[in-house]
Amino acid sequence: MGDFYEDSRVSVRICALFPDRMNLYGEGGNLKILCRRLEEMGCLCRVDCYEGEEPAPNWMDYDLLYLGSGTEEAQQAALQLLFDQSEALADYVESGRMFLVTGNGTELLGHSLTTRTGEVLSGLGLADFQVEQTDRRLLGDVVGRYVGEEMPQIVGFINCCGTIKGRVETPFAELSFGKEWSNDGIRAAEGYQKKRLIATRMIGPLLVRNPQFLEQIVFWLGEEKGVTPNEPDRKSAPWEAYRRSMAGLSERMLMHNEK
Amino acid sequence: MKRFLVIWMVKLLYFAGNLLGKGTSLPGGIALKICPDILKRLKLPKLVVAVTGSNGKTTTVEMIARTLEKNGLRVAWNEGGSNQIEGVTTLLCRRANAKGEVQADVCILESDERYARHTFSYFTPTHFVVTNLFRDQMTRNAHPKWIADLIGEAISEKTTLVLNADDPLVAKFGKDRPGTVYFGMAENIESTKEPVGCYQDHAFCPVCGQRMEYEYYQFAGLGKYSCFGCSFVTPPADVLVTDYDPVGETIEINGTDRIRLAFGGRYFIYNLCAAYAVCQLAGISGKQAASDLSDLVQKNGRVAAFEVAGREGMLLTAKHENSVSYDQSLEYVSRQDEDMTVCILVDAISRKYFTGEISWLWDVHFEKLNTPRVKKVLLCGRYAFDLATRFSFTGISEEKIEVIPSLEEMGRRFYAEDGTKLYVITCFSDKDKIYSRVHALGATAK
Ligand SMILES: [Zn+2]
Repeated sequence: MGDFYEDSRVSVRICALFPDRMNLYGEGGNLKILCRRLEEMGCLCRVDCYEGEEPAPNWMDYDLLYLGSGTEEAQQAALQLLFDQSEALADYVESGRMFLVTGNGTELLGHSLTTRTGEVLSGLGLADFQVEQTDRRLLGDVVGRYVGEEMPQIVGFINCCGTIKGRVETPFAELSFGKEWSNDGIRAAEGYQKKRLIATRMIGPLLVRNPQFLEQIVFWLGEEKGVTPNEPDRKSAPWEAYRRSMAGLSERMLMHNEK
Repeated sequence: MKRFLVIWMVKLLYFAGNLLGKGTSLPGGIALKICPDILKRLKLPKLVVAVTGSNGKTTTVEMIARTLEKNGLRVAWNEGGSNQIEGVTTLLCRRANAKGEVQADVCILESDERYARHTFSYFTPTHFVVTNLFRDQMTRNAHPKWIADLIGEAISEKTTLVLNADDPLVAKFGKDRPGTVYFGMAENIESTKEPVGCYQDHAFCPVCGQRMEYEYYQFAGLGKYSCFGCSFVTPPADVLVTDYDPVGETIEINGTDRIRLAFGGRYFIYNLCAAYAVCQLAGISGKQAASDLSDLVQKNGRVAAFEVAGREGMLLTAKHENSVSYDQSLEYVSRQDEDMTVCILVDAISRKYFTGEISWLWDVHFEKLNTPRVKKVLLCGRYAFDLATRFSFTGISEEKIEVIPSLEEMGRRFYAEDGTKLYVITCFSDKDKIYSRVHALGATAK
């Protein structure tokens, strides 16, 4: 611990929300690759865990909060445990700090969440939408253009049972493949953004599969901290894997469009 | 009359299908179209046992069926694992006489976790075995709790449950159901105080959602748990592994019956316990069941020897998208006391199309290969770079790792004799890509 304060490196503090409960689809990989990249840039990365069993920390102490996917039960437990933090989290988002959400963690951000049994739960109220879950599982590969900075397309996979009701004006991505798995299953809009609250229903290792997006995240974090990221190694495994994933999905896209 | 015709049609189609080498679900599928409630119209034997769960269904069913057959019982079972409603229909019609009576003393039915509720809406099994619920093909199955809910819909109040006591998600089915038969495993030399692996699925109570405390773990969240929130605990096991000897490769059940283990080590034990429990329910003595099961489990298709240019190799089959299955193979490899090269081949996750979904790679405990005996790791196939990213977090030194996306290149690499034995881990779906490049020596006993 002593080292942390004595180290002259710029420190980036991250809080993983429910890393045990909400770690269904390889979410842990995101934080691993993010920390590694930050350290490559010369930052010191510290990750705390919040599982809702201890008093909530001061969110403002963090540079990034991260929430992933869980079973519907875990998701409801997380909502319950986070609910009295709604206002504090809203202040956090308003302050322009980064809150990254993947998978069905996104479903907690709206005004309400209607469960499979029809129960209507109040959401965290950070985003302007409602979510309705059904017994139908939404499962599939997606490809989409990130809404914001220019970058190569995002690849992902959706695995959830909730549909977003209400038009999202500021989505995370516009899907070009797998539109049936979009927010409402009709339009191309997927996910949600407000300031630096970045939420996508794409699951799991989003940052592992999308090094171009990882670069965007570390750019923003660096901006806050006065650190300019060094050039990433675009020949490294994650970049090569991304190109192959994109190629495989493009092939499917072509076949799909021909039909 | 309709029943009579449908039964004969299935028998004929099955016979014809056999000649043509066709699958076993087609006749049943047609039967269900003509007569949707055909299963309701059959007369089943007194003992009808359904077996479901994520891992080990087929092996468990086979062990039960062979043991019962050995003891003179006529067993109708879905050999070859046609485990959806069509396969079950084929099997039962095929074994039925003109009056619709299934000509068997016992039915042992492997049932797909997701479709059991369809099959068992037409008839009610007397017993329902659930082996385990792990993360398995989540691109189709969503997650284990989702599957648990679907299995729950298939369970009738009249059925006696036979459950894995050490798997909280499975044991929950037995809550408030007197008469439930449990199998489990006492603390042993390989139990751990802390969980091992990449995720904590079982850490939270399936009844009330609070975090549970484990006295010890066997593997993958199985173990002795108790919940502070609602008093849900590991139920006492009727079939309990009282001793496990990993060196002599035997287990002892209820302090008396000893069974020899095959490949799979401790991962295999729960399936063996389930089989033992069902054999007892069918009237076989524990002693007899133990002896018969010991004889049976000596050969296993999951491990096969091969040879490539004089170099010895072993092929271990795991299931893509199933971390426990991978962990099982990794554990086997990591325990070998010889210098080795380990090849992981992930080339096709889905047989139908390319999917980019690789989140399961983050659930597999590849860290197990971080041992001095592992000299080289070859990461092969279409997903070689996804594997490489995952492996860069295992602590295994970079110099040991080679990334080989091309299958031809992989084949050539096998020939590089460097004094190590070659261990290949891959899925059933990618197995032939290995076999076409090596000289297979067949399944081995160990
Ligand atoms: Zn509980």
